[in-house]
Amino acid sequence: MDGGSVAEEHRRDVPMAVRLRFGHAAVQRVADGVGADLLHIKGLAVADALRPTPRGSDVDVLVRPAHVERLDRAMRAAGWVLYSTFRSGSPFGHAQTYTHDAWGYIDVHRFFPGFGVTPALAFDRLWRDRGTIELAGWNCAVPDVVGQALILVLNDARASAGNRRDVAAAWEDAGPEHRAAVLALRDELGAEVAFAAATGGLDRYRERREYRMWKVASEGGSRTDEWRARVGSAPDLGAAVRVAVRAPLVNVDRLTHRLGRRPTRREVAGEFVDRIRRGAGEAFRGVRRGRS
Amino acid sequence: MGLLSLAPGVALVDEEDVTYLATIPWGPIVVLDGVAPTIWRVARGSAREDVPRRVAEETGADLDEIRGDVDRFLADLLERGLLVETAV
Repeated sequence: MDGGSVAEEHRRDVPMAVRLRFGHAAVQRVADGVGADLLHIKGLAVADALRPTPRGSDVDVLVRPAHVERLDRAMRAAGWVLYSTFRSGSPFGHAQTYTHDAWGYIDVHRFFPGFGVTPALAFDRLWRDRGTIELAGWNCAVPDVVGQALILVLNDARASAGNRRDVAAAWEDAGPEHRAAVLALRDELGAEVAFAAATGGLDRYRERREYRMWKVASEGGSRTDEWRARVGSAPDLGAAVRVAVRAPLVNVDRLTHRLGRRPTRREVAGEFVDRIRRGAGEAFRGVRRGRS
Repeated sequence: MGLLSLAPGVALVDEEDVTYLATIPWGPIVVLDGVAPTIWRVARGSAREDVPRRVAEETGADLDEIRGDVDRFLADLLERGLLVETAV
């Protein structure tokens, strides 16, 4: 009889779901070590009732906004490498992605797109009703089922109509009590516009500042549309100007991943010119369509 | 005499007759398959010298044949920091 073997993972495949459970546990241990509050969201952290089939290829956590920096430092010290930043990751600037040799990708959210209240208030509210699940033997805090459902619906608001995979279980097929609780939390967190982007009726919110952003996010649009929406959705003039100044700049992280290496200054400059041309081309086509 | 137990900071996933272990947050993931998950399960909470006998009882294997392999396996887990031996 063979007395048993110990194989490190490079000698055999580790199922994605197993790797992700370790990823949740690993980031939780890091957070515990520096006193950072985390809520594990989406994917494996979601209640079975809201998740018809297991899926996901990364770990997602929502961190208390005041604890973002300490978590970032601790994660980097523990082997995670920053893959994309808050500024470059998405038009919302809500999450940054890290990668780790053992655990794969993790998205650290400093807020969740769609909540109208401040990130700190939204986190506090979700934290208040949190529950705990065990992942790889580690206790991980999660929003309660109502909070999870709301997050899944808001997450689907950023997907194209054919790719909204969670809104059915989280909202459409849910019972009346669950739906009432989700609506109450939606209203408490000022998430009406994003919620409508996923579930229908977005045009009822035409007058809201964030309407155009969610229109583009849920229905798609050109790069120019996205820039305009970002400027229009900015909460104040200063934020709008910062978005406007940033918009034509090259996203160096994305260019790095596309090229598979850090781009040269010449490549960044070339991409900048291309983006201006693309933006100008889209604007020009828009003018022509307007005239015809 | 000491008892074997899961080392601090070790995360564990059991999935379809395979046990995965990792010291978090660093890793790597270690995979136990075949008879290894049985030894792992028996070892936790046992004295190291009792483990071969208990594994033999569970599996029907000859104790003299497996004693050396089981002990080497336990030594490997201890060296990797996945198990610890604590005095009682």
